[in-house]
Amino acid sequence: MEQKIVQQLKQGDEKTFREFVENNKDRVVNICYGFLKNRLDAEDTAQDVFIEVFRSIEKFRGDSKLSTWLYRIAVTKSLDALRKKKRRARFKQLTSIFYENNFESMPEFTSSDKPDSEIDKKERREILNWAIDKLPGDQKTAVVLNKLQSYSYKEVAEIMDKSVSSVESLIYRSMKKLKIILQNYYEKKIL
Amino acid sequence: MKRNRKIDKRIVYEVERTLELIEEPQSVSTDSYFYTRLKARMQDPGGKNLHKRSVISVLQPAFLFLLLAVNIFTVYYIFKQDSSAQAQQSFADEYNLVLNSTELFDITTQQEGE
Repeated sequence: MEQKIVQQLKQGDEKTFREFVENNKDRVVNICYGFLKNRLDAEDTAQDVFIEVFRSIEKFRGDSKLSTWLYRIAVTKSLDALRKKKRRARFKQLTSIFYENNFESMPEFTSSDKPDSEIDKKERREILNWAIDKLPGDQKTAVVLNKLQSYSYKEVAEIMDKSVSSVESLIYRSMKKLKIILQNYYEKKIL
Repeated sequence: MKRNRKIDKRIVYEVERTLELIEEPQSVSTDSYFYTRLKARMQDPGGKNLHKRSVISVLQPAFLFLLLAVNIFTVYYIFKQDSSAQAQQSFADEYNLVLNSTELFDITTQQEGE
């Protein structure tokens, strides 16, 4: 079945490509969203992913599942988009440094009176996303796929082209690091 | 000391509450026009603009480098000329000297003859 889809995609069959996009768009957009935390950016990057698939399907040799290959492209494109986004933000900060002293921008922590409110949750989510963003490349990818997007260790290992045990260790280390980042953050904000 | 312990407890509480959120999956959904937009982008002349922009981004520094190289060469060439012929001439003019060595020789030979 998959071989037939690949064959038809290689032949440039538009109907197959459309079906392929419709069947996978949500998963791809969600992977991109896991990294970029912005719906529009995620959709834009997801489009880049499908364009890349369309252009380079000839190179797909069938070593992995088509979906794994697709998610791998989604991770690569998301990391590229994130790098570009950061570069732009850094330049913006550099130009505004003469006006404000906010080079290291941290999310706000208002210490809500209603700890279970939606505002409190939204704020915490922002802090968590900020902390995840501080993780090194591989750790971030593993956390986004396994924790935020609920992919199994095996699936993450396939997407990242690593062994299951190395993914497990990556996630263990990233959770430890996340704890430290958050501790430092709250120390700065509370003290 | 007592206050510090209270703050530490608070920090641990905040960290744990924030980390709990990692288990809640974040998801967004796309609308039914996703493919239409994708198709438009694939056929869009915007893609050509993108190609044009990337060509410009390569050509621009190359052109600037070329311009810089031409400038350096020109300055070097002018200085080289200046330091040889022009500088000698202007020096000679300023101190009213005869630059042509044969004339100098002629003057000395004339003096010897006298």
